[in-house]
Amino acid sequence: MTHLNIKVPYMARVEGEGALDIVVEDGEIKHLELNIFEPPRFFEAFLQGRGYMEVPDITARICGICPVAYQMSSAHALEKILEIEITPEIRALRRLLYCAEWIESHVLHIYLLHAPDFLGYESAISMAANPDLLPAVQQALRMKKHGNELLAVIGGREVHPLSPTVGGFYRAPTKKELLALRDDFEWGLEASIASVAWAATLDFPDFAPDYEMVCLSHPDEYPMNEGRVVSSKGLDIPMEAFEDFFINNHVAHSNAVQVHREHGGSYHTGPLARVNLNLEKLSPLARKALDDSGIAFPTNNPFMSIVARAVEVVHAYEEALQIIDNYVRPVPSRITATPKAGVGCHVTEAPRGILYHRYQLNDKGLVERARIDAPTAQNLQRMEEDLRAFVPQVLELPHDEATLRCEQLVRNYDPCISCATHFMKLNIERK
Amino acid sequence: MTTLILGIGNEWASDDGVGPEVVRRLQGRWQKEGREPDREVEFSILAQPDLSLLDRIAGYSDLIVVDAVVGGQPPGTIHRETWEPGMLVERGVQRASSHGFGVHELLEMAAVMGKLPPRVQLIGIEIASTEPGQGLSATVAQAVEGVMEELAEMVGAKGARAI
Repeated sequence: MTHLNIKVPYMARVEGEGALDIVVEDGEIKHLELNIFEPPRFFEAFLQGRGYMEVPDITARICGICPVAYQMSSAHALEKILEIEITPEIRALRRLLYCAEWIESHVLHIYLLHAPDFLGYESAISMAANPDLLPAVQQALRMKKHGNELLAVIGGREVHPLSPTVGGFYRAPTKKELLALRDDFEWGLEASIASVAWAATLDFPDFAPDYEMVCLSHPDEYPMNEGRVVSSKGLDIPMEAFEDFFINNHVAHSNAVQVHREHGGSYHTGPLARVNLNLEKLSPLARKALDDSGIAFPTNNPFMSIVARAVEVVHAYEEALQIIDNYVRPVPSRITATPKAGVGCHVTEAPRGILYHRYQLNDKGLVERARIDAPTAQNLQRMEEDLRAFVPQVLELPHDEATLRCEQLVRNYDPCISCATHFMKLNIERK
Repeated sequence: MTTLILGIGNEWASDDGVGPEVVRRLQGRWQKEGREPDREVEFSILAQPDLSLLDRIAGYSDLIVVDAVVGGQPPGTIHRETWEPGMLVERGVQRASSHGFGVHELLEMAAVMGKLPPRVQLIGIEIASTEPGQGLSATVAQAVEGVMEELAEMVGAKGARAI
């Protein structure tokens, strides 16, 4: 087959939708566009004129799956302006909060959004209808619930937590509240190890582009809230230099912002980059699960991101248990400051990759400017390049399968549009 | 034998909040009137369909879902259905929530996972607007009383308790 026309029409809905448009003629890609609405554009304007204490509450609303990431990047950036030094106890609780988010977000994607692609099901529902796979879905729902419950204990509710703020938490949980989750997390740790083994049995297309993998790196720990921005091609910069090396711009075919390297090149951020570049920092059981899986990391095969996600779930459970066991309730639960003018930026590791925030405050502590580079915006150019490289591999496949493979490729990135699964509703025409 | 009346919708998106509005008012009325239950009824509200619905509906004998509908009928029109597997998918009902799961996906999921109550009734109210802000548009607000009466007949309830 030398002609292919894949068209996923744009669907006007809330919180970002995707459209995929590929035209191949005489074996040559004539047209390829991936369009995504990227909500943070609007939020940057909403934030102007708001007091700094409101910022994490507003940015949390950018995403229902990864609100913690938006709270963490904003809180850290603002703390730099206000010269707030958080305590080790607050720092540990923030990592615990991030563990919760990684668990709920990754488990959702692994089992309910991505696995059906690998196993040939239209959706998680049809997957769950297979008695052989039902236990895996039940296990996933239980694990996802753990993440949400931990979010609720720390943040006050399961989605868009209320407690995290600039300087710490409005209320820190008691040790008793956290210990109540311990048995569930012990079970979850075992289940997550089994998940890695299961993910490793999936069929991965033979595809491994020459990526520049980008993530945070910290000398002592698996990166979440702190570190330097590093890449597989030698980049190693402080967060403050982010905008010198990462440029965001609007592309004509999409309402989304795309972020690229200063030389115009694309890069890949997310769990695959993190695992690749932080293998030695994984928790002992996460590292063992990866080694036992037989999948060799580092890898540039984006389809193996499902394994990377599964490994990070093990890490999150193991580290969460460790933090809970050593937990000392922060007193005070937050460090306060007086308003101050200045500029501050920060990067944290959202489930989908690095999330950059920069704020400019005036002397009253009101936001004058904000910039937010979401992980999905950073991966967009790379997704398009992946599709360009991958389409020739699928030209010989039946049309439906070719389309499904292209969707699966996009879902490798767990794009934070409201409907990763929506890519499955396709209108395809052969030429 | 317990019936769950579940109102789904975002009360900050005007008419989308009609399901929660019906549930809240019915619950308030029955409590105020202090009626004795001759059949147990529980109420619940969900701002947006998500996976928590699976556990929320499990264990009841009857589920009645009250939700906003955009089906091309005049605003305020009331739709009544007994849910059956595949029904909403066959009709091309579109998922109307972000990040994953709408009502029909969740009901199907609950069914395959054995969490769906044996009897499921759907009540849909045609809406006019999902503009940001609280409060129902006039025509939709007028339909609320009728839906409440209908629910009272359906459950034969003279009382209820909140969960």
